[in-house]
Amino acid sequence: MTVLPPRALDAGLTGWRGVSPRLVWVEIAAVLMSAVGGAVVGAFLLLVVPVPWIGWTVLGIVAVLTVIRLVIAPRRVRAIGWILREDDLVVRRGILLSRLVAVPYGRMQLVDVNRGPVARLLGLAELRLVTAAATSDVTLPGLPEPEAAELRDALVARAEERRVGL
Amino acid sequence: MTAQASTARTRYVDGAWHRLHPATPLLRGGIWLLAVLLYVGGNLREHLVTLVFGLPDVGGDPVDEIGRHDLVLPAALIVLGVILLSVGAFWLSWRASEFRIDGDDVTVRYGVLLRRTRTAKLDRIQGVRISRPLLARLVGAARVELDVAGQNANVRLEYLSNGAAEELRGDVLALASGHREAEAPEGEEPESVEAAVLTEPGTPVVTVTPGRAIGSVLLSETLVALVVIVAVVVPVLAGLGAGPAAAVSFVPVVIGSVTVLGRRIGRNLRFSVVSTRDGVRVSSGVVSTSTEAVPPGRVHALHIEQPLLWRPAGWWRVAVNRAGHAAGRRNAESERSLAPVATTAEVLTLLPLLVPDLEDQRDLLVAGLVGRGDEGDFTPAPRRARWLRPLAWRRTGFRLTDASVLARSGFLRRELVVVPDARMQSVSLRQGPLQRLLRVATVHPHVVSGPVRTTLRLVDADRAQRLFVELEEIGVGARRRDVSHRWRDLGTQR
Repeated sequence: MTVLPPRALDAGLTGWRGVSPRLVWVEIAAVLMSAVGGAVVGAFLLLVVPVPWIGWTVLGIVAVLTVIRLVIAPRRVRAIGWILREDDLVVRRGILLSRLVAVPYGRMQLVDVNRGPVARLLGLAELRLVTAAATSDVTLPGLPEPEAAELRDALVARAEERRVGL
Repeated sequence: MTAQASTARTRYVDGAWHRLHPATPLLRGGIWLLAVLLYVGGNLREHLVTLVFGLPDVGGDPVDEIGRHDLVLPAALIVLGVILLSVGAFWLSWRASEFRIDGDDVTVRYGVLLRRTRTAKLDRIQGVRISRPLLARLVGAARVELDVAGQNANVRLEYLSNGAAEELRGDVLALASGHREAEAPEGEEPESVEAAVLTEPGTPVVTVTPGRAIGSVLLSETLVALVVIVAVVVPVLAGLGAGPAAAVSFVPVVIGSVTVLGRRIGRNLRFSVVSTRDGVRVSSGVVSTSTEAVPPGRVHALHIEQPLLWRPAGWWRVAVNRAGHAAGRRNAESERSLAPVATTAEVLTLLPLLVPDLEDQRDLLVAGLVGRGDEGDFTPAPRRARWLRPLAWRRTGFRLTDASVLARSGFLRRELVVVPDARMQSVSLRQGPLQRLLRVATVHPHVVSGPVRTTLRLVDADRAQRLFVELEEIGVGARRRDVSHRWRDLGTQR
């Protein structure tokens, strides 16, 4: 676990903890999966539509997007940070569109731990917090499995301590 | 609590992992399996007929081809392999689905490839639902859903045997209520508050006069848009020599619109808000009159807006987000607006009843409704934000009061949003590329879902970061003080 340097939009909070760099591979797998999907669509258009440039344009766009997403994948992963504070969990994400969310322990309704196939190969898990507000939607991917379990237990215990109504 | 808990501790409440009903994977993938079987069966039907009656072979059919080329054995092996694989997958998936209940929480884990674990506190559970889909009923299984507040947050136990499901429901409810009784503050009975609001005599706050009921609908944007379309399109079509045809084609549209407008006028006419000692009572409905109680603690966010055309008349529409409605989604019509059309004076009386913190804050409310810039001590958007909202930036601003957050916005359509601190669920801070360029950000106090969007836009970036921290601290602090509304008052709305 790494301590991240401060950023432009971090609300003056310090002690950000980063997620596992191995998450990059999960991101890359996701990008490649969608690239394959896009390529299939492009190839289909190339075969079916008599105007070839439509298919080539689609393939070109897919290729460009894939390259861009692959290049920024490591930065996206490095941008994810979290702090376990006295009363709340703060999570930050995103480079182009920065987002910072603070969820007070007392407001948590549920804590989910999800593991996708690629993440599981790398021993990673994703934590998801649910509050009564649909807009909260806090996910924290790229936690090593033991750390995710530990964090889940810590969050559940604190939620118990500080429970409040809606 | 211990007494209830100990009596409730039966088979499932022991903190050990339990498997679900063995038929679970079959039932979950049941539809697909059934579809495949039916499809294959349908295709094989003719072969069975052929086999029995010895009809002549026409050829060209895959099954016949297999028979002709001595491929029966490989084909049978493939079929067997597929069956074994699916049985194996089903078995793995069943092995991977488990649940556990201990003293405080329920944990469910399932999924072979995508492992999911969901943990819910027992005292967060609002109710337990048992349902039996057709296939499940055939094997005597049931789906148990534990309701937890929040979007898509239910804990599903699919599937359990009927007996186990009933038993589990009893246990979970007993445990949850045990927690509830231990937690609930003395003398506070939310049900009675609601009942009191519905029966107490009160004073009318919002009464819609016939003139206003009709005028508000006639001045609505949809009607004006319709009139404009008719006024523009019909002459154009007439000019093209299609006058009568165009007129005829518009008849159904006009009839439909008149019906809708008439219904709206009717609803407005029947509308009233009455204030009682414990909260406000809202009556509405055209055919059947419905009456709802809105105690102040149930208001999670408030939205007061004024469309441009209503401005000369000084009318406002008031909408609220309420916890019970987020889950229920019934009567969406009345959910959308608490008061469909109210005068400024009525709004100023109504708001303090819904958010007690706003009492004796008349100047502040007026500034929030019609003010701009820093009137009413609002923190205005910085001037550079005009590039993002050329008109609305002057009115965009926020203000923190002792116990709530006010967000003002909208130039043509004036809007004011009020969020009581104690109802904030979480806070977010967002900044896109354009916003970064202009050094502004969006602060978003999250509340339960409903018609009101509670975003504070165009806040100076530095101020926004401080505001984010402030709101979070205020929220935590306000929640500590606010003990009057436990989650269980939600249950009374169901």
